[in-house]
Amino acid sequence: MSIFKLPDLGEGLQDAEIVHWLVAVGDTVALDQPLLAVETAKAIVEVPSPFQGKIKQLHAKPGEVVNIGAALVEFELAEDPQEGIRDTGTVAGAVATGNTVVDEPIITRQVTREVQKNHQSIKTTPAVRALAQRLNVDLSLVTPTGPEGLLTIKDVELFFSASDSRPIVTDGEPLTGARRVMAQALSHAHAQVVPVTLSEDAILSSNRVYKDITVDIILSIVNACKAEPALNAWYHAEAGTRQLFTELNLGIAMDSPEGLRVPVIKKVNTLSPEEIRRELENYKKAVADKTILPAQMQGASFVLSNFGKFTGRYANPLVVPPSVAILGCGQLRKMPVVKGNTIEVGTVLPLSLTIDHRVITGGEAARFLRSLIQTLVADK
Amino acid sequence: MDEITLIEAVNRALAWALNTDPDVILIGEDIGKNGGVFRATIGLQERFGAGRVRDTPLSENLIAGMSVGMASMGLKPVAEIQFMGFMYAAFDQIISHASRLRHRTRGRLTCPLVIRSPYGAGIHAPEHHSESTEALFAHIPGLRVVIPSSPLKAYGLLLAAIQDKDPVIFLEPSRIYRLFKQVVPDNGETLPLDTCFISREGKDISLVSWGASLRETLEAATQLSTQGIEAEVIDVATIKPLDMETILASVSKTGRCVIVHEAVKTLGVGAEIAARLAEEGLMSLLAPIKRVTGYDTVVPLSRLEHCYIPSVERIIGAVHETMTFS
Repeated sequence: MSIFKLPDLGEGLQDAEIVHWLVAVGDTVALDQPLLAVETAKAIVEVPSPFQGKIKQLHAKPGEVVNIGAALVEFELAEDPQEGIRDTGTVAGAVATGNTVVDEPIITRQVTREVQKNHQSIKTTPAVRALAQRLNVDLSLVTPTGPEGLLTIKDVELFFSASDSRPIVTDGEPLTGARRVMAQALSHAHAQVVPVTLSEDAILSSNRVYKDITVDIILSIVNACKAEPALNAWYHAEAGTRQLFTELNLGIAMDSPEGLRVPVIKKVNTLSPEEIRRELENYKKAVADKTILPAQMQGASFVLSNFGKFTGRYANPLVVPPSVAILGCGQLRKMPVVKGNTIEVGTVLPLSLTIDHRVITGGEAARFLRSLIQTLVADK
Repeated sequence: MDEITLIEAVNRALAWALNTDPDVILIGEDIGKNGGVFRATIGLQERFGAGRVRDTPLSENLIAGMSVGMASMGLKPVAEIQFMGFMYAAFDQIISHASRLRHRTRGRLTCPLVIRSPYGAGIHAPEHHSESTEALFAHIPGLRVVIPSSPLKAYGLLLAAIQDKDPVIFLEPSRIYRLFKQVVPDNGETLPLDTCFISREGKDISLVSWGASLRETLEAATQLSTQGIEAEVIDVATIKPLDMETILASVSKTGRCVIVHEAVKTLGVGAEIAARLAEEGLMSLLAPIKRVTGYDTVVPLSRLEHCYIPSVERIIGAVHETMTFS
């Protein structure tokens, strides 16, 4: 049995008025459970139970003013009183009591300062470990040369320069923007499309002035699409449908530091050579300025990739669905060409046409390329 | 043999010392007739008389000064200061005299006194009753600071402290005074001072603690074990002088260390242990040493006490951070 007395509520207060009880006789209360509310000169305070147990008697009624130290609650404690010295009291607060019996071995200095683990055989400083981690060097492979087998920064650096480890410029840099879109679109394309690439040289006419070869190529594509409309189309694989177009929306692949951009010249078949050039210039600027809009890069049914302005002859360009064909132009070059029975120096444009063989036949592809070259090499 | 609490172990150690050594004398406020604020000395005045278990006026400076005088004349006083927050009044006698008597007299006099005091938070007490300022005493050359973490340790270390020829500050964590019991043979056997105890052996990380916080540290180690982390738990027990050999040996094995103490972080004993590990055990470390401690503030009153005392969760969190460092 234990009696809980009104504790010192602080601030020099000598008594408190009981506002109301939060427990009743017979209740079992937990440690710290609020027992009652008292009003001091300053505030209403809830008094927590210092004991765990059953309430046997309440010694004050609501409205009564009780002095500090006066009996408030009589508890029947959860544990049985035991023989010998037992008292939960303290002049201040409450000491938690428990009956758990704890076994405790008394061990002193049993551990020895020995090398017991692999990593411990490497004697080095955290800074060296950090360097090794940064350079991706396995310290267990490095020969220590420092005093008493200490592995030093120099050892790691020497090992690193002698090995083929390369410093990592960027560590797992996430792809963003155009580069991320490129990765997604081309992964998708590679997984879906059944590509066939057909290559042929266009031997340009010596009787014609090619003022703007890119525009000339575009005009040839326009003509070839008229001759072979299957290549100016969209293939919707999931729906199993293909859409043929009478007008040509031509995508122009443009390289940029952020990744591949493909702005689309809408209805290119309706434009004059000057208008086509103006569109090309506008798009070049927009790509360089990063002001190109998503809407300006949608709706291509055929794509032109003019990689030859950098270098390269033939390629196997990738078709990006839903479009079904792409033309790659290599580097324009002077080459020996056979004319009749003689060899002359001719200007040659190497062309590579990739089609999606799921919807375009080999014949359609070949006829398209033949038509394109005929237009391009015509004397005019 | 019965199972007893830490406070009962203190009582029995005192009784053993009084019974076997006529030089032992107990002084303190309310320790005689009343039996002490926590009942550490209950029954002792009845048994050994008011001459050997003496009530003093409410003057901690007097208690310490009287102890220094008795000790210098060959008695072995064991003084009780009711709460650690009251010890500051005795500071001058402890620091200026008790700690220096051997040095001042070139070894002709020693000061075989023990000052016992309950310390630490967790008993819902008002201000001045909850602090853990062991570092203040550990800082002073000539003082030994001993903190038991269990009934067994309390019994054996208190008897060793009483037998020691130099002053010992013996701090009893009041939060665990009655929290659990142990079988403690009442045979007068001492435990070694200046030695850490290994409370639990493990290979993955060293947890270093003392006093009441050892309970949370051991509980954390048990929970970590279910996560596959085997922690070695070291009970420092003697805060000054530090047994760095045991701590260094453990850390050389595990490569990682978390120090847990209830005292504030800044300039706590954990800082000294961490510094010594950096000086002497740097090559063993696989991760920075972490400390889980009380916050740099006065111990809050009862409602927030549990937020202040390093919890099992905080200890486990620190261990995870340390384990995943490299």
